[in-house]
Amino acid sequence: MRRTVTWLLVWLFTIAGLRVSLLAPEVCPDVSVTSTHAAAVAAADWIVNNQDGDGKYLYEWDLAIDGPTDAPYNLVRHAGTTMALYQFAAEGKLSYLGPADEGLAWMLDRLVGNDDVAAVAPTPTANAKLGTAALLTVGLVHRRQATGDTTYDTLIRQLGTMMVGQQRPDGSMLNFWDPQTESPVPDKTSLFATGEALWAVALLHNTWPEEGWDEPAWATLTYIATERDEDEDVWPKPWADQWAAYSLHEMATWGLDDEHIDYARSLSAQWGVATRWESQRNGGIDGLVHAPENIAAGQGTWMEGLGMMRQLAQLDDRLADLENDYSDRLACGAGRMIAKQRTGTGQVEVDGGFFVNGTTRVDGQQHVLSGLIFTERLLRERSGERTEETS
Amino acid sequence: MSGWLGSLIAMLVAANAFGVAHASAWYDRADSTPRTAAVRSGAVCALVLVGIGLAAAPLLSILDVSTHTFRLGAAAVVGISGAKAMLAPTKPITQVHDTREANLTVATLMLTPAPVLMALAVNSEAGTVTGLVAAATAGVTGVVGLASRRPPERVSEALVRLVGALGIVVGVIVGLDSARSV
Repeated sequence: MRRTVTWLLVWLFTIAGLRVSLLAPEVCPDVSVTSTHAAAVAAADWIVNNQDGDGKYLYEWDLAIDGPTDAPYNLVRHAGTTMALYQFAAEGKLSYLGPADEGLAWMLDRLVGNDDVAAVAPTPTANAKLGTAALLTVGLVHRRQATGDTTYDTLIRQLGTMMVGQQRPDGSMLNFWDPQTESPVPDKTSLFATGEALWAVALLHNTWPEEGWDEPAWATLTYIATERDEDEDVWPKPWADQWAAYSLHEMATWGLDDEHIDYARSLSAQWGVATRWESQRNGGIDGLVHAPENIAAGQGTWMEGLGMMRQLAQLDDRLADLENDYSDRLACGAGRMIAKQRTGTGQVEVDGGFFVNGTTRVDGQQHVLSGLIFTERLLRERSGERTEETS
Repeated sequence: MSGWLGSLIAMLVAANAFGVAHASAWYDRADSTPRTAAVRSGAVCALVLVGIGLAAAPLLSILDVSTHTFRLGAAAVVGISGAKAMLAPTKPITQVHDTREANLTVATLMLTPAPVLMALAVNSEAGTVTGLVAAATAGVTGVVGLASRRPPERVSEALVRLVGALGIVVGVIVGLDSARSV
């Protein structure tokens, strides 16, 4: 009798303990093409409705003070947000071209460089960040794809030359470019910028295949896949770099090596686990066990990474076994973000925003917008509408 | 899943390591009736494990838990059970009075959370065939453990601790694999 009671108690505590921790329900609200598209539009509207006349975006809004925070403006995030608007425009939402062009103009006012290279810096003498140049490049390429306009081709190549000039022999990229010396600042790298630059350079090769942009792209991809995490002291490995996912997808038809695919597998697992864990954070004890919640930008990057990996899996059989998992996690992440999006308040600083702990930052809308674009593609495919790329 | 072998090992460890053989001290007694009953109920428990495993998909759907996440939970339980077996092995059961008690004892030894959760995890991730092989192997080894005469207590206890340590290792490996799954 005692043994049986003990056995029952062990079972009871095991089930209860697991149910509020590792095996808490994964709540993934249903998503549809309509709801996903509406959420993407709302996110993009948050960005453009809060844009200044000079093209600068509202950076961060705090519900507690019902006003902007004093967080310093960030050029890389400005470039990323502009890029996301161009991404949306390239999906056919051409009404966002105007606001994106205003964001572009704000960056063009801060161009530094010479006839050969270009970068963006907060002041003419301040160091320019690699990431700003990279995301500006990506945005311009998306603009080119959306409009067919070649006005900025020279600038795109100047930005590309600057980025390739930041590359070291091992494929790593230096983070700063000094406009005064017109050369890279030695020894300083960035966990974020290397992947951003890789994506930009890969896009350049796909835009102008005959110009040799693929060589530096290969070097940086292999560096990211094999050495970057060690150099940057990342744990757990690999660094959950959605920019690398964009890059892998961009390079999918170039003939990726097995080491790149192995990297892609381990990279995508980071977003899978993060999405599963976040989906178990549903208030009560679940909420405590799975706290703290990542900022919206972080959650958006998971969606971007999963979206790109899903499309990569459609192009490379070595990842085909993961396509369903990518799709499920992407849809789950999108459903949760849509449920969290603020709407209907009538306040432009709030409606369409993704608030975590009462604040939202512009890159929250940026990253989630990109993720929602990829989710909409998935849902359209599921409903029978194959995109051009995968048909 | 990284491979069905890891799961199979986990099932083996979970099913028979944590005290089945060690706890079966009553086999040294002259009366063979409880022993026969124990072997029979061990076989039934193995079939129950198979049946539970086959219910994995609907059960996980009801629980709203994905297969990779479930495997992480199962791995944690296997690891903790292994630690318990290593640090504080179950005391040998020196006496059972009748067939009913033998059946209950065997059921409580074989149908603990670790093997049951692992049976579900293996079926949900590695498929029904692997799940059946794993559960059947676990069941057979459990029954063999029950049918065997218990070795000297020191040897038996050392074996349980060793297998408990293996359970920790398996739990960590399966857990890490789950944490590296999309």
